[in-house]
Amino acid sequence: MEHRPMIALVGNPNAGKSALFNALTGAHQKVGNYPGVTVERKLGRLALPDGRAADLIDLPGTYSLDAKSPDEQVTRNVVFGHQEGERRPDLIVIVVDAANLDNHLRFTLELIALGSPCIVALNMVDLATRDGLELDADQLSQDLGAPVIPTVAVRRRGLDDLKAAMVQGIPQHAAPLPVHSEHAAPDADELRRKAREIARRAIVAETPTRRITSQIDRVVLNPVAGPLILLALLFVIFQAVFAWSEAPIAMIEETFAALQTGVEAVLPEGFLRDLIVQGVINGVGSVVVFLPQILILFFFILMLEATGYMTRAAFLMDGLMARVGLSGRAFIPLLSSFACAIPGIMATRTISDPKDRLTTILIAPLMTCSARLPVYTLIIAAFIPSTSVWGGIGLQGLVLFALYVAGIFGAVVVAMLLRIGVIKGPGGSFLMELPKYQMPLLRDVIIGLWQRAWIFLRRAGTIIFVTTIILWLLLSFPKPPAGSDQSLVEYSAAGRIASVLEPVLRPIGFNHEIALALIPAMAAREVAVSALATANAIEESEDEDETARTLGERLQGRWSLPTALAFLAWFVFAPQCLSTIAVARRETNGWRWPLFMTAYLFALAWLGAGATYWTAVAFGL
Amino acid sequence: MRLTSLEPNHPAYVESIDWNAMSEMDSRRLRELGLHEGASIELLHRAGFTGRGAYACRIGRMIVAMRAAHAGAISVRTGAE
Repeated sequence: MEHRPMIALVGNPNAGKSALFNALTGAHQKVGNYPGVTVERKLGRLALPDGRAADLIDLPGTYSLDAKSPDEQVTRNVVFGHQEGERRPDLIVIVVDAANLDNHLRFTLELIALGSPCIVALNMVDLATRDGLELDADQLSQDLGAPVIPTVAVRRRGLDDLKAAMVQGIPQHAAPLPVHSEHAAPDADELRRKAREIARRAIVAETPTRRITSQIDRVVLNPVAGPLILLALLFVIFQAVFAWSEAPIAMIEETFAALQTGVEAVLPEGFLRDLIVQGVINGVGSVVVFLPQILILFFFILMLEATGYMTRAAFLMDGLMARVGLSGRAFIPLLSSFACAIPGIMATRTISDPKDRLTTILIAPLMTCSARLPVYTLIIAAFIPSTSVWGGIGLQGLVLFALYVAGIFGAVVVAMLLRIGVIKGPGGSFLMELPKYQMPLLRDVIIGLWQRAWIFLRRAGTIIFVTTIILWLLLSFPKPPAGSDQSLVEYSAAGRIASVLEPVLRPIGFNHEIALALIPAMAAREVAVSALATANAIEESEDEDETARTLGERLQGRWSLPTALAFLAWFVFAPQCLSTIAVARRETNGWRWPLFMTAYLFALAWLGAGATYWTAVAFGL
Repeated sequence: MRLTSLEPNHPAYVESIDWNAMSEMDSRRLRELGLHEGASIELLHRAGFTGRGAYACRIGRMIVAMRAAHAGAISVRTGAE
């Protein structure tokens, strides 16, 4: 088989590496994880001008080859050819920010010193020009001893030159092994001095222009206007997540309903049909329905990241976060957790301090994720009167808002307790580059959205697919003998498990059917709604809203108001869906913390629901 | 003068850095973010209503956010290099 060259993109964070990767590979990319570590592996295919195809790998942005963080370890291992499951690159493309030469050249020099074939992509030259910098690429190339190609990844400029340089740069035979081992790395201070000197020589002219970035920052980072702008942005995002998602959610619901009708028409009545219709389509459909909300939230998150605003938000929030023992960087993962804790927990990878990161992971599930919404909506609609209080504020909306606030408040308290208890120790620091503002490129945002959607759908197609089948089986078997006065659900395995749980849940006002609904809610919270529906033996109507309404009416008659309120309080804290626990296990490399997380959240849920119930009963509600 | 007492938007130079006042990891990161003796530095913003949040400063051509603990470890000098 012909040897396909392997090219690695290496560079500092904020050098525009990912934009260059997207521009070079387009949609031809695969995103995965390196085995055993939580570092994203991005591989793409690239067509070289000489007709060959090459593998292009986008390595995590790092400042040096010192292997301190998992990201840096992977970059280092790949460059040295030690990374499990990865070929050693034949060519390294070092991506540097043209406007930030003296800093980025230090890492460049470190990489060049390895002796592997290298070319330098002098990226974002347009922004450097905007900043009043004029650079001499030839001089830079001469000083570095490597080809230097000016590029503007987001405008696709310089890509042909870069590809031509790749053809030139790929050695005919296997690339020589890097000459330095970790013990013989060049002295860091020496490299820094050299980098500054080379940068000084490469800069032809430097006019101190008032940059766009500092003008925007003057408004956005203003002590008064800044937080207000951030609040307004968050408000718009949450409005959009709910308002824009209505139509696509309705479409997804209709599609799954049509699918159920279609299968019912084709398959004969029996086990298989029930399994597919009630188990698979219903179960997977109830999760896929959240895709629009997740995509809308991620659209905003990706836009805020691509423009450079996200780091400003972290900067503004740091003071507040520091008070509960967190860093401003935790703001982004926690914001993501409002859509779903899974991407939120994955986003904690950018937090370098291990204690900060662990605390953030442990409180991420307290942010009200979109899977809780169906539960909240059902109970609020059934038990909270649709009246106005305090001059026109809807009571139902107010209760929903209060549930969100309860989650945030819980997270604050838990974070503080964790930092004086199990995750003791001095708080981490907050050091962060605030990159230049940039117009985001639609293509990059779409690629990012597509990757998120795929990860989510794959989860729905695997974990949730399997758990819903298991759940359906537990709810359907064993079948009660003919003439039994017990319902199918109560007689089933799930019904019996619920009876075991009941004594624990009885003191906080929960009845048998709630105990039953809580079991499947472990798979995905929103399944509690469909479990209640099954337990109530209501015929599934085609429209889910219709089901919710009739179910709501049924619950009104069977539950007391304190029970309903306690049920809501329970869902502020628990249960954690299995996928969240699985992701926490992967991100913390073990079972210790996910088990701790699950235990403390269940304890909080029990106490929260109990306190709500007892208070409500005491007030005679 | 400490960076924390520098007037915002008044360019200065880094005179010395107390690397012992921070963890090894942080000192390495700050070096990577371009902090060195003689670097040009300018205080740009302070976050928070109460003015007790993080600092944003320009180091060379980069804007870097840091907490008071780190900003206080940087001694600066106004005037020519």
